[in-house]
Amino acid sequence: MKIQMVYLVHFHDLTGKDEEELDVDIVNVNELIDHLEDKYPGMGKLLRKEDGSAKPNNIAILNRKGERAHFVKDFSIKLNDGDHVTLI
Amino acid sequence: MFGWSGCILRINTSDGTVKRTDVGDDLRREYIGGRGLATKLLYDEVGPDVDPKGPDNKLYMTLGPLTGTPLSACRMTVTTKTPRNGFLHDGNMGGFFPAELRFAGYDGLVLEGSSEKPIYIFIDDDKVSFHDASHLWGLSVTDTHIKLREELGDPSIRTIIIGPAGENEVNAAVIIGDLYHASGRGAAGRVMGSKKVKAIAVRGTKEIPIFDPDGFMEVYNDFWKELSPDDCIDIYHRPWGVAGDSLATDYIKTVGGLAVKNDQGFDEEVSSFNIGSATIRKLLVRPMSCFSCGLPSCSQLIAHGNTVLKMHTGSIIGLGSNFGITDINEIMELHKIWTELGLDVSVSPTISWAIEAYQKGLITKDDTEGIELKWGDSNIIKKLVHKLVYKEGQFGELMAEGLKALTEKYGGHDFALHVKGLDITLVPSRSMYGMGLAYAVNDQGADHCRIYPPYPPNIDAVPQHIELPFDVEKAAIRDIPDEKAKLIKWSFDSRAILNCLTTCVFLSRGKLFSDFSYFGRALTAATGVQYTHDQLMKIGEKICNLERSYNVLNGNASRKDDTLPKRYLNEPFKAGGSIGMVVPLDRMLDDYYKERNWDLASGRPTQQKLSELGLDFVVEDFKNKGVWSQ
Repeated sequence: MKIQMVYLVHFHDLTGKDEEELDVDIVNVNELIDHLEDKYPGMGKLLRKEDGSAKPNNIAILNRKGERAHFVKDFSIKLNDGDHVTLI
Repeated sequence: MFGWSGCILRINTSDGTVKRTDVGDDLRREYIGGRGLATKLLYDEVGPDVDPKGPDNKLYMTLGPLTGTPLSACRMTVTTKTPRNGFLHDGNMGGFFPAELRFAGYDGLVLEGSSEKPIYIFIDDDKVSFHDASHLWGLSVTDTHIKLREELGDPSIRTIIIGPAGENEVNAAVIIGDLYHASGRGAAGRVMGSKKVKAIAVRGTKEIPIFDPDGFMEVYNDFWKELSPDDCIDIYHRPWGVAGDSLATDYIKTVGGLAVKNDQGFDEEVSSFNIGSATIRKLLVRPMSCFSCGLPSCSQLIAHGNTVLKMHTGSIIGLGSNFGITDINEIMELHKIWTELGLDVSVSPTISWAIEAYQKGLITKDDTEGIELKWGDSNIIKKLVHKLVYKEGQFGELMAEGLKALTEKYGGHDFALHVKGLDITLVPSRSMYGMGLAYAVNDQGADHCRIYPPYPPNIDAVPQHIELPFDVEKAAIRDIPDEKAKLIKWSFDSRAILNCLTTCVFLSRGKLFSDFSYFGRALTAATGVQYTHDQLMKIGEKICNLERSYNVLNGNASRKDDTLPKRYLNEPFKAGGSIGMVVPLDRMLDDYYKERNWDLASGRPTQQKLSELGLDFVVEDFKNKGVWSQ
């Protein structure tokens, strides 16, 4: 599926990018983070606590067509083709 | 005396006399300083019979007992009776002028009367001198600042200045401190202009007496520990420190609330607006701070040709997306014009209303004197703002008065983006119901500054011993009305305290967000007077009730004034991250009045609440005016 990523501030500094489109074979946000960790080492530590749950001070916002944007606190949430994920 | 200076400087601009007065221990302890002190003085001294446009109105600039100390206490309150509607207005200015005024030995200054000719005032510690400002009248803010420093022979003086907008008594005129720090968009610049005061310069060399220096240093160290970004209630404390408030543009866009073309909610337009923190960081010259700043920055100086600008998200949205302008260079050019004219950026909705009204046929080229109004053209915006500031023609006169005046003549109320006559600052209300309620019930109108950041907090960082008076998780959900009234009451009360001290509001991003005992300890160490968390919250509530009471007595304020533009109540977003959202205001208003123990039908404080807060003098005034029998 295709996921549109937006990287702000520290995530921009880590990736060197403002945004990019990912074409990935993943199911949920956790797998997206795994993918990003492979691509940009250190990404996982920015987003996850040691127990794998979401860090409270680096939260992803999910935008999906036809739905309201919301903060992703549960990384097991499923992703759809065309989703936008903003990392602030 | 410790903490306070014990001296309010009263400057009569009519006859050039100066008085030094003391408000007394009781009032000082009860209202602390800053916003609390100014509100009480305004209530006592500027009543319903005072014409806010006339010489009997007063302009208060008040400091707190912490101002000038290293606790990010860099601010002052700017208060007056606003010519917009006779309500109270207060602004909050940072920078360096407030601390310098404190070092000159004052808890505040009051401008009274009205000079016959333009003047500027120089406060050099105890010495106050008046100077002819005829040669400065009409100059831009920067040119005035440079000339003042040359004339007074001191490159380090601090200044507050009005631009041509204030001189011409435009409602959206602000006062600019040290070139970059604006305040008083509720017409404080207009009031200063009506007194013919172009500028005030200050030099102070005195010390601030601290009651318990060791205790003060102890709480000083605790403050910074509490602001650790790793364990901070504000989830965006760290990125804010890097990107400043331009980050807010990104956040607002992401949740679908970016104002585009008078906030009409065109999602495809939102998607194509790509100016945000990344843009600003590429232009960054250096972070921009105020006196004793506790954060890396809340804003940045960015490169603009061979000069620099201090940009906030208000400019990016107000002068960019809301006009349909997507070129950062054009936005910066408009920002520079706005600042030099001494005009608030949030007058944007007045101009965007004009463009939408033109497109809907409510106004024509005959009204605009030949200007064809359309989106995305910065040259048209420049022509309109020139008309507004210099009151060119009837249309210019009406724009200078603001949206209420424009809509009374032309209609178009439904898309006039103001509350109580004050233009919306374009932090979205449809996308964040808490912000919608905050705009509606704010006693000075559409002001976003009395609410904490409208995104989920780090609940883990709330101290265990603190029991907040609302469900934090529900309050943070932006698209439900639940808990918003409790959140807004608590935000307003606690923000009033910060405005009394007068510390930077960003200082409250750590655990201090919830625990005001730190501020109590700082106050006690500075003044020797005991203040606890609970006492401070009560003082905050008292100030909010006094402000509302002022508006009731001076502007007949009631529930009808606590509203939002129809666009935000009736026009849901058709797409994007806030799809379907409009503000469920009535439900939240009822909840808010109940939380405040105010009358549900009128939105006014009850006798029981006023007495409980020790505002018996207001009870008497309400009875004498028949407020409760209306």
